[in-house]
Amino acid sequence: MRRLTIAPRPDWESKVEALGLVWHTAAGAPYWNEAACYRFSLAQVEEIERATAELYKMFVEAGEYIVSRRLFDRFDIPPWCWPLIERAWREEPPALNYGRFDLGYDGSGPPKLFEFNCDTPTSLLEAAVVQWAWKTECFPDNDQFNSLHEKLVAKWRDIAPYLRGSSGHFAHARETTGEDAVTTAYLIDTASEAGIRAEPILISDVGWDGRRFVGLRNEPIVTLYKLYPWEWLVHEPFGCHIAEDAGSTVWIEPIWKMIWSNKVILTVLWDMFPRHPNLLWASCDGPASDSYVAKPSLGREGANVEVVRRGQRLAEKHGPYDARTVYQGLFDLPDFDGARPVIGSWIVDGNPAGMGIREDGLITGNLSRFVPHIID
Amino acid sequence: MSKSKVIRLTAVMAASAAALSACDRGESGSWDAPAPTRACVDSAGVRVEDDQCNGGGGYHPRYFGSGIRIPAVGESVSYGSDAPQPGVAYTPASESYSVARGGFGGTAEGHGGGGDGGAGE
Repeated sequence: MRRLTIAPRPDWESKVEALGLVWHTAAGAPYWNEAACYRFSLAQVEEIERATAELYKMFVEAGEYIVSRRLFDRFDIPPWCWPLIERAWREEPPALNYGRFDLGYDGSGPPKLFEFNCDTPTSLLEAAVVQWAWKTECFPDNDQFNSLHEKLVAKWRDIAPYLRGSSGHFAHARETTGEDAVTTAYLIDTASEAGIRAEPILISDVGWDGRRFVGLRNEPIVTLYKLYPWEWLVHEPFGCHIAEDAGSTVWIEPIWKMIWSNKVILTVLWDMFPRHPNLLWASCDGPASDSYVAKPSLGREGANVEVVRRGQRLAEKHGPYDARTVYQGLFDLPDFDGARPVIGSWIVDGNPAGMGIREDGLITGNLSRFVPHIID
Repeated sequence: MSKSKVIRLTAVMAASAAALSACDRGESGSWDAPAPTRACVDSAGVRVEDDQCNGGGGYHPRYFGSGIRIPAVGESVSYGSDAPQPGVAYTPASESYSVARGGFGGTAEGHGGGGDGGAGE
């Protein structure tokens, strides 16, 4: 695993924009950073791939453990959601069932799980499309760990027969960066390629007509892809209608993702699979050593994260989250002249699907640079 | 999803969980009529399902103007009129719902969107 400094394509902005990545610069600096790339051996990529598949299996076991014992309290899930989660877990309504494992990896030891972003993961277009186009142009003879686009389209195709009318509304929040809009637009592209009629809508424009959720023309929403976290949905004014929705909206992703996307599951995993090579110790009861990371169970974008080594706070990112704190063992991210990469390893329905790399300091946030990769 | 395997489809979740919903049934079962609306009530003035008015038996329609609160089924109602206004078209209560919006999305305003690209490490 090496970090190469390379010359960006002179017209890289227009090239990535043409692929839909209008959000390529943030706070005056490139978010899409092709002035560098990471180079992996095939063996290293295979190790990441194996770890991803292994972690997924552990999440399935942990989900079963949590649902069968109704441990929802630990996850601060409102009781009215419990039967919905149990039912969705058992009945398996249609889902993309995709997600991004964020891993610490230094090229030699086993990849270590930081968290699983499986409810509203972003950096998707960059990983699936933009870095592939970059590789094809700049390193045509190299490979890349990337079948994400194909797997997403294939998964939409699988579930399309179960979506009434083979159609869906695709919702995201109104926000200023365009990141959520870009990600949702890309999901619309993949669904459309699979023959699903997709209609974009802002999550705030979703209506409730007293019986069911409706779109802007008051048409029933039969399938709702939402780039909007479950823990927000259920606590908002319309949240209570989810249980009484006579339209039986299919939610993508399903409500059981409230378990997997909550970082409390890291503590369950550690209890179930102690000292597993792909896990870091984790606890809600406090740090197990003087080197740890403290993160909110329901935080996003690296907000409210604190990194402590030998009792010294090395980094801290403030934010709006005040959920239960999860403590996790500190992993020393490799340091390439101050650039510390985190591997985002994608999975679609149990199948490893590629990776994207974000680099920053000790905490990876929404402005951390996306750096493409190649395989020797 | 294949938590292990292949997609297995299902009857999707819904109605039976309604009793466990956090919604206040009083609020969610009634609404303000977006247009003139016709409901069905029994002889005691309690709203019943619309199709009860098809068979007599003391059930009769009650007419409400636009913007008037339509009671939930089972709720007693003392307002409205037993006679329609001439020339006014009335929507059956079972088809008359006003659409509320803005019940999702509020949390994002303080959090900068709903996606998650960060790793927390």
